[in-house]
Amino acid sequence: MTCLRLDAMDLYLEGELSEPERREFEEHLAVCPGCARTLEDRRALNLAFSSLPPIEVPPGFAAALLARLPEEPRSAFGWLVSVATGTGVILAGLLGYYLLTGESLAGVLVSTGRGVLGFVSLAAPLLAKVFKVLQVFLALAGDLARALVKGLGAVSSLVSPEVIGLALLLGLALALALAAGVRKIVTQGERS
Amino acid sequence: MNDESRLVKKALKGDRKAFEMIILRYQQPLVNYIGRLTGERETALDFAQDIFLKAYASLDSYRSSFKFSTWLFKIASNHMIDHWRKKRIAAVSLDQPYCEDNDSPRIQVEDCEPSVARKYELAEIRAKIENALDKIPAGLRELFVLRHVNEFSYEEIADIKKLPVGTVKNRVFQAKEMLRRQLEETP
Repeated sequence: MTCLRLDAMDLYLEGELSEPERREFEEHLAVCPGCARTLEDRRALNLAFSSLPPIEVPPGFAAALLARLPEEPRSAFGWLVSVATGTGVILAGLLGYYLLTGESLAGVLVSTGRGVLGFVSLAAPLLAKVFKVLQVFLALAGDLARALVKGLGAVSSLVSPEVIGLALLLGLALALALAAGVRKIVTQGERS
Repeated sequence: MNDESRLVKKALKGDRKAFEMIILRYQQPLVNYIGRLTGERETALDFAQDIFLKAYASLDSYRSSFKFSTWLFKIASNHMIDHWRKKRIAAVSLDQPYCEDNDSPRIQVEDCEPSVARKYELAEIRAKIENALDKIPAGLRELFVLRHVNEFSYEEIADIKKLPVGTVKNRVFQAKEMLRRQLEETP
Protein backbone atom coordinates (compact mmCIF):
# COMPACT_ATOMS: atom_id res chain seq x y z
CA MET A 1 0.00 0.00 0.00
CA THR A 2 1.44 3.38 -1.03
CA CYS A 3 0.99 5.97 1.66
CA LEU A 4 -0.03 9.57 1.07
CA ARG A 5 2.35 12.40 0.29
CA LEU A 6 2.63 15.26 2.76
CA ASP A 7 2.00 17.94 0.12
CA ALA A 8 -1.16 16.12 -0.91
CA MET A 9 -2.24 16.16 2.75
CA ASP A 10 -1.81 19.93 2.88
CA LEU A 11 -3.73 20.39 -0.34
CA TYR A 12 -6.47 18.11 0.98
CA LEU A 13 -6.73 20.16 4.18
CA GLU A 14 -6.91 23.35 2.12
CA GLY A 15 -9.62 21.94 -0.14
CA GLU A 16 -7.31 22.13 -3.14
CA LEU A 17 -7.67 18.53 -4.37
CA SER A 18 -9.90 17.72 -7.30
CA GLU A 19 -12.98 15.55 -6.64
CA PRO A 20 -11.41 12.26 -7.89
CA GLU A 21 -8.17 13.00 -5.98
CA ARG A 22 -10.12 13.73 -2.82
CA ARG A 23 -12.13 10.50 -3.12
CA GLU A 24 -8.99 8.42 -3.64
CA PHE A 25 -7.34 10.23 -0.73
CA GLU A 26 -10.20 9.51 1.65
CA GLU A 27 -10.37 5.87 0.58
CA HIS A 28 -6.74 5.48 1.60
CA LEU A 29 -7.26 7.34 4.89
CA ALA A 30 -10.07 4.96 5.83
CA VAL A 31 -7.73 1.98 5.76
CA CYS A 32 -4.43 3.57 6.92
CA PRO A 33 -4.24 4.66 10.58
CA GLY A 34 -0.70 6.00 10.07
CA CYS A 35 -1.80 8.42 7.37
CA ALA A 36 -4.89 9.38 9.39
CA ARG A 37 -2.69 10.24 12.38
CA THR A 38 -0.23 12.23 10.25
CA LEU A 39 -3.14 14.08 8.68
CA GLU A 40 -4.29 15.20 12.13
CA ASP A 41 -0.75 16.41 12.91
CA ARG A 42 -0.65 18.35 9.64
CA ARG A 43 -4.06 19.81 10.44
CA ALA A 44 -2.79 21.06 13.83
CA LEU A 45 0.39 22.44 12.27
CA ASN A 46 -1.52 24.21 9.49
CA LEU A 47 -3.86 25.69 12.08
CA ALA A 48 -0.83 27.12 13.90
CA PHE A 49 0.60 28.42 10.63
CA SER A 50 -2.64 30.20 9.81
CA SER A 51 -3.28 31.70 13.21
CA LEU A 52 -0.23 33.81 13.93
CA PRO A 53 -1.28 36.84 16.00
CA PRO A 54 -1.73 40.13 14.10
CA ILE A 55 0.88 42.85 14.43
CA GLU A 56 -0.62 45.82 16.23
CA VAL A 57 -1.36 48.87 14.08
CA PRO A 58 -1.50 52.11 16.11
CA PRO A 59 -4.89 53.92 16.07
CA GLY A 60 -3.46 57.04 14.41
CA PHE A 61 -1.94 55.14 11.48
CA ALA A 62 -4.52 56.15 8.86
CA ALA A 63 -4.65 59.79 10.03
CA ALA A 64 -0.86 60.10 9.90
CA LEU A 65 -0.84 58.60 6.44
CA LEU A 66 -3.62 60.90 5.18
CA ALA A 67 -1.57 63.89 6.36
CA ARG A 68 1.27 62.71 4.10
CA LEU A 69 -0.90 62.32 1.00
CA PRO A 70 -0.50 64.86 -1.79
CA GLU A 71 -3.57 67.00 -2.57
CA GLU A 72 -4.73 64.76 -5.39
CA PRO A 73 -3.53 61.42 -6.67
CA ARG A 74 -0.89 62.02 -9.30
CA SER A 75 -1.78 60.64 -12.66
CA ALA A 76 0.78 58.05 -13.71
CA PHE A 77 0.77 59.49 -17.22
CA GLY A 78 0.16 63.11 -16.21
CA TRP A 79 3.51 64.30 -17.54
CA LEU A 80 2.89 62.46 -20.79
CA VAL A 81 -0.46 64.23 -21.21
CA SER A 82 1.22 67.62 -20.64
CA VAL A 83 3.98 66.87 -23.15
CA ALA A 84 1.48 65.58 -25.72
CA THR A 85 -0.77 68.63 -25.23
CA GLY A 86 2.16 71.04 -25.57
CA THR A 87 3.42 69.28 -28.70
CA GLY A 88 -0.10 69.28 -30.15
CA VAL A 89 -0.53 73.01 -29.56
CA ILE A 90 2.83 73.80 -31.22
CA LEU A 91 2.06 71.58 -34.19
CA ALA A 92 -1.41 73.09 -34.57
CA GLY A 93 0.12 76.58 -34.48
CA LEU A 94 2.70 75.65 -37.12
CA LEU A 95 0.04 74.05 -39.31
CA GLY A 96 -2.21 77.12 -38.95
CA TYR A 97 0.67 79.40 -39.90
CA TYR A 98 1.43 77.22 -42.93
CA LEU A 99 -2.21 77.24 -44.04
CA LEU A 100 -2.53 81.02 -43.62
CA THR A 101 0.77 82.11 -45.18
CA GLY A 102 1.41 79.25 -47.58
CA GLU A 103 5.03 79.02 -46.42
CA SER A 104 6.49 75.51 -46.46
CA LEU A 105 6.40 73.67 -43.17
CA ALA A 106 10.18 73.26 -43.17
CA GLY A 107 10.53 77.03 -43.64
CA VAL A 108 8.09 77.65 -40.81
CA LEU A 109 10.03 75.30 -38.53
CA VAL A 110 13.36 76.96 -39.41
CA SER A 111 12.00 80.49 -38.93
CA THR A 112 10.30 79.46 -35.67
CA GLY A 113 13.53 77.95 -34.44
CA ARG A 114 15.46 81.10 -35.40
CA GLY A 115 12.79 83.24 -33.74
CA VAL A 116 12.95 81.26 -30.51
CA LEU A 117 16.76 81.34 -30.49
CA GLY A 118 16.78 85.07 -31.24
CA PHE A 119 14.31 85.73 -28.46
CA VAL A 120 16.30 83.69 -25.98
CA SER A 121 19.61 85.38 -26.93
CA LEU A 122 17.99 88.81 -26.57
CA ALA A 123 15.88 88.14 -23.52
CA ALA A 124 18.43 86.28 -21.41
CA PRO A 125 20.88 89.19 -20.82
CA LEU A 126 17.96 91.61 -20.47
CA LEU A 127 16.28 89.41 -17.87
CA ALA A 128 19.56 89.05 -15.98
CA LYS A 129 19.91 92.85 -15.84
CA VAL A 130 16.28 93.29 -14.78
CA PHE A 131 16.76 90.79 -11.96
CA LYS A 132 19.94 92.55 -10.80
CA VAL A 133 18.26 95.99 -10.79
CA LEU A 134 15.23 94.52 -9.05
CA GLN A 135 17.46 93.02 -6.38
CA VAL A 136 19.16 96.38 -5.69
CA PHE A 137 15.83 98.20 -5.74
CA LEU A 138 14.28 95.75 -3.27
CA ALA A 139 17.25 96.07 -0.95
CA LEU A 140 16.98 99.89 -1.03
CA ALA A 141 13.22 99.84 -0.59
CA GLY A 142 13.62 97.50 2.38
CA ASP A 143 16.14 99.84 4.06
CA LEU A 144 13.91 102.86 3.36
CA ALA A 145 10.83 101.13 4.75
CA ARG A 146 12.71 100.09 7.89
CA ALA A 147 13.99 103.67 8.41
CA LEU A 148 10.51 105.08 7.83
CA VAL A 149 8.92 102.71 10.32
CA LYS A 150 11.63 103.51 12.84
CA GLY A 151 11.20 107.29 12.30
CA LEU A 152 7.42 107.11 12.54
CA GLY A 153 7.71 105.08 15.72
CA ALA A 154 9.98 107.72 17.24
CA VAL A 155 7.71 110.59 16.12
CA SER A 156 4.54 108.86 17.33
CA SER A 157 6.06 108.50 20.79
CA LEU A 158 6.74 112.27 20.88
CA VAL A 159 3.73 113.75 19.08
CA SER A 160 0.04 113.33 19.85
CA PRO A 161 -2.22 111.30 17.46
CA GLU A 162 -4.09 114.49 16.37
CA VAL A 163 -0.83 116.07 15.13
CA ILE A 164 0.11 112.86 13.27
CA GLY A 165 -3.33 112.87 11.57
CA LEU A 166 -2.90 116.48 10.56
CA ALA A 167 0.61 115.80 9.18
CA LEU A 168 -0.69 112.82 7.14
CA LEU A 169 -3.51 115.00 5.76
CA LEU A 170 -1.04 117.73 4.79
CA GLY A 171 1.24 115.15 3.16
CA LEU A 172 -1.69 113.80 1.12
CA ALA A 173 -2.71 117.32 0.03
CA LEU A 174 0.90 118.03 -0.97
CA ALA A 175 1.08 114.80 -3.02
CA LEU A 176 -2.21 115.69 -4.78
CA ALA A 177 -0.99 119.24 -5.51
CA LEU A 178 2.26 117.83 -6.91
CA ALA A 179 0.35 115.38 -9.10
CA ALA A 180 -1.91 118.20 -10.37
CA GLY A 181 1.14 120.39 -11.12
CA VAL A 182 2.87 117.60 -13.04
CA ARG A 183 -0.31 117.02 -15.06
CA LYS A 184 -0.57 120.75 -15.90
CA ILE A 185 3.06 120.85 -17.10
CA VAL A 186 2.50 117.75 -19.22
CA THR A 187 -0.69 119.16 -20.86
CA GLN A 188 0.99 122.52 -21.56
CA GLY A 189 3.90 120.65 -23.18
CA GLU A 190 1.49 118.73 -25.40
CA ARG A 191 -0.24 122.03 -26.54
CA SER A 192 3.01 123.77 -27.39
CA MET B 1 -18.37 47.84 -10.27
CA ASN B 2 -17.42 46.51 -6.83
CA ASP B 3 -17.13 48.52 -3.63
CA GLU B 4 -13.36 48.93 -3.87
CA SER B 5 -13.49 50.13 -7.46
CA ARG B 6 -16.02 52.75 -6.36
CA LEU B 7 -13.70 53.85 -3.55
CA VAL B 8 -10.78 54.08 -5.98
CA LYS B 9 -12.89 56.14 -8.40
CA LYS B 10 -13.86 58.54 -5.61
CA ALA B 11 -10.26 58.78 -4.38
CA LEU B 12 -9.14 59.62 -7.92
CA LYS B 13 -11.56 62.54 -7.86
CA GLY B 14 -9.82 63.80 -4.73
CA ASP B 15 -12.12 62.23 -2.12
CA ARG B 16 -9.65 61.60 0.69
CA LYS B 17 -12.31 59.92 2.84
CA ALA B 18 -12.59 57.19 0.19
CA PHE B 19 -8.85 56.55 0.32
CA GLU B 20 -9.03 56.52 4.11
CA MET B 21 -11.57 53.68 3.81
CA ILE B 22 -9.09 51.78 1.66
CA ILE B 23 -6.33 52.38 4.22
CA LEU B 24 -8.50 51.21 7.09
CA ARG B 25 -9.42 48.08 5.17
CA TYR B 26 -5.86 47.11 4.23
CA GLN B 27 -3.62 48.52 6.96
CA GLN B 28 -3.78 45.38 9.10
CA PRO B 29 -3.16 42.81 6.32
CA LEU B 30 -0.36 44.94 4.91
CA VAL B 31 1.37 45.44 8.27
CA ASN B 32 1.02 41.71 9.01
CA TYR B 33 2.57 40.88 5.65
CA ILE B 34 5.56 43.21 6.02
CA GLY B 35 5.96 42.52 9.72
CA ARG B 36 6.15 38.76 9.15
CA LEU B 37 8.68 39.31 6.36
CA THR B 38 10.95 41.73 8.18
CA GLY B 39 10.34 40.64 11.76
CA GLU B 40 10.25 44.31 12.80
CA ARG B 41 7.04 46.12 13.70
CA GLU B 42 8.40 49.66 13.25
CA THR B 43 9.77 48.82 9.81
CA ALA B 44 6.44 47.24 8.93
CA LEU B 45 4.58 50.44 9.87
CA ASP B 46 6.99 52.64 7.89
CA PHE B 47 6.90 50.41 4.83
CA ALA B 48 3.12 50.16 4.97
CA GLN B 49 2.92 53.97 4.80
CA ASP B 50 5.31 54.02 1.84
CA ILE B 51 3.29 51.36 0.06
CA PHE B 52 0.00 53.21 0.57
CA LEU B 53 1.64 56.38 -0.77
CA LYS B 54 2.86 54.49 -3.84
CA ALA B 55 -0.60 53.03 -4.32
CA TYR B 56 -2.18 56.49 -4.05
CA ALA B 57 0.26 57.88 -6.60
CA SER B 58 -0.58 55.17 -9.10
CA LEU B 59 -4.29 54.74 -8.38
CA ASP B 60 -5.21 55.48 -11.96
CA SER B 61 -3.31 52.42 -13.13
CA TYR B 62 -5.68 50.18 -11.14
CA ARG B 63 -8.23 48.39 -13.32
CA SER B 64 -11.53 47.39 -11.77
CA SER B 65 -11.44 44.03 -13.57
CA PHE B 66 -8.73 42.94 -11.10
CA LYS B 67 -8.94 42.47 -7.36
CA PHE B 68 -7.75 45.54 -5.48
CA SER B 69 -6.04 43.38 -2.85
CA THR B 70 -3.81 41.62 -5.39
CA TRP B 71 -3.01 44.97 -7.07
CA LEU B 72 -2.00 46.47 -3.71
CA PHE B 73 0.05 43.44 -2.71
CA LYS B 74 1.89 43.51 -6.05
CA ILE B 75 3.06 47.00 -5.08
CA ALA B 76 3.92 45.73 -1.61
CA SER B 77 5.84 42.75 -2.96
CA ASN B 78 7.85 44.96 -5.33
CA HIS B 79 8.60 47.27 -2.41
CA MET B 80 9.92 44.33 -0.41
CA ILE B 81 12.04 43.09 -3.32
CA ASP B 82 13.59 46.59 -3.60
CA HIS B 83 14.24 46.51 0.15
CA TRP B 84 15.92 43.11 -0.03
CA ARG B 85 18.00 44.19 -3.02
CA LYS B 86 19.21 47.22 -1.09
CA LYS B 87 20.04 45.03 1.86
CA ARG B 88 21.56 42.47 -0.52
CA ILE B 89 19.38 39.72 0.81
CA ALA B 90 19.03 36.90 -1.62
CA ALA B 91 15.35 36.86 -1.50
CA VAL B 92 14.89 37.31 -4.74
CA SER B 93 15.61 33.90 -5.29
CA LEU B 94 11.93 33.89 -6.01
CA ASP B 95 12.87 34.30 -9.60
CA GLN B 96 15.35 31.47 -9.42
CA PRO B 97 14.27 27.88 -9.29
CA TYR B 98 14.27 26.28 -5.89
CA CYS B 99 14.73 22.62 -5.73
CA GLU B 100 11.39 21.75 -7.28
CA ASP B 101 11.07 18.59 -5.33
CA ASN B 102 8.09 16.81 -6.71
CA ASP B 103 8.96 13.81 -4.64
CA SER B 104 7.32 15.12 -1.54
CA PRO B 105 8.02 12.95 1.48
CA ARG B 106 5.56 10.25 2.24
CA ILE B 107 4.74 9.48 5.80
CA GLN B 108 6.67 6.93 7.77
CA VAL B 109 4.09 4.69 9.38
CA GLU B 110 6.60 3.21 11.78
CA ASP B 111 7.61 6.69 13.00
CA CYS B 112 6.43 6.87 16.60
CA GLU B 113 8.16 10.14 17.48
CA PRO B 114 5.47 12.62 18.61
CA SER B 115 5.01 15.38 16.02
CA VAL B 116 5.67 19.06 16.70
CA ALA B 117 1.96 19.72 16.70
CA ARG B 118 1.42 17.24 19.50
CA LYS B 119 4.50 18.17 21.51
CA TYR B 120 3.56 21.80 22.17
CA GLU B 121 0.57 23.96 22.99
CA LEU B 122 -0.80 26.09 20.14
CA ALA B 123 0.47 29.37 21.63
CA GLU B 124 3.90 27.82 22.07
CA ILE B 125 4.02 26.59 18.47
CA ARG B 126 2.99 30.05 17.21
CA ALA B 127 5.87 31.67 19.08
CA LYS B 128 8.26 29.09 17.65
CA ILE B 129 6.92 29.67 14.13
CA GLU B 130 7.50 33.42 14.49
CA ASN B 131 11.14 32.73 15.39
CA ALA B 132 11.60 30.10 12.72
CA LEU B 133 10.27 32.41 9.97
CA ASP B 134 13.50 34.39 10.08
CA LYS B 135 15.49 31.29 9.30
CA ILE B 136 13.93 30.37 5.98
CA PRO B 137 14.79 32.09 2.66
CA ALA B 138 12.95 35.38 2.21
CA GLY B 139 11.40 34.28 -1.08
CA LEU B 140 9.83 31.19 0.44
CA ARG B 141 8.86 33.15 3.55
CA GLU B 142 6.97 35.62 1.41
CA LEU B 143 4.91 32.92 -0.29
CA PHE B 144 4.20 31.29 3.08
CA VAL B 145 3.06 34.64 4.51
CA LEU B 146 0.84 35.43 1.54
CA ARG B 147 -0.82 32.04 1.90
CA HIS B 148 -1.03 31.50 5.65
CA VAL B 149 -1.00 35.01 7.11
CA ASN B 150 -2.82 36.95 4.40
CA GLU B 151 -4.88 33.96 3.29
CA PHE B 152 -4.63 34.60 -0.42
CA SER B 153 -5.58 31.72 -2.69
CA TYR B 154 -2.82 30.02 -4.65
CA GLU B 155 -4.19 31.63 -7.82
CA GLU B 156 -4.04 35.10 -6.26
CA ILE B 157 -0.47 34.53 -5.08
CA ALA B 158 0.46 33.34 -8.57
CA ASP B 159 -1.01 36.60 -9.89
CA ILE B 160 0.84 38.75 -7.33
CA LYS B 161 4.18 37.03 -7.88
CA LYS B 162 3.75 36.26 -11.59
CA LEU B 163 4.50 32.59 -11.01
CA PRO B 164 2.70 29.45 -12.17
CA VAL B 165 0.14 28.17 -9.64
CA GLY B 166 1.91 24.81 -9.40
CA THR B 167 5.19 26.53 -8.51
CA VAL B 168 3.46 28.56 -5.82
CA LYS B 169 1.90 25.44 -4.28
CA ASN B 170 5.23 23.65 -4.34
CA ARG B 171 7.14 26.53 -2.75
CA VAL B 172 4.56 27.14 -0.04
CA PHE B 173 4.89 23.47 0.82
CA GLN B 174 8.70 23.76 0.85
CA ALA B 175 8.43 26.75 3.18
CA LYS B 176 6.20 24.80 5.55
CA GLU B 177 8.51 21.82 5.53
CA MET B 178 11.49 24.07 6.32
CA LEU B 179 9.52 25.62 9.16
CA ARG B 180 8.48 22.22 10.46
CA ARG B 181 12.09 21.05 10.45
CA GLN B 182 13.15 24.23 12.25
CA LEU B 183 10.46 23.62 14.86
CA GLU B 184 11.57 20.05 15.36
CA GLU B 185 15.21 21.07 15.75
CA THR B 186 14.38 23.82 18.26
CA PRO B 187 14.42 22.43 21.81
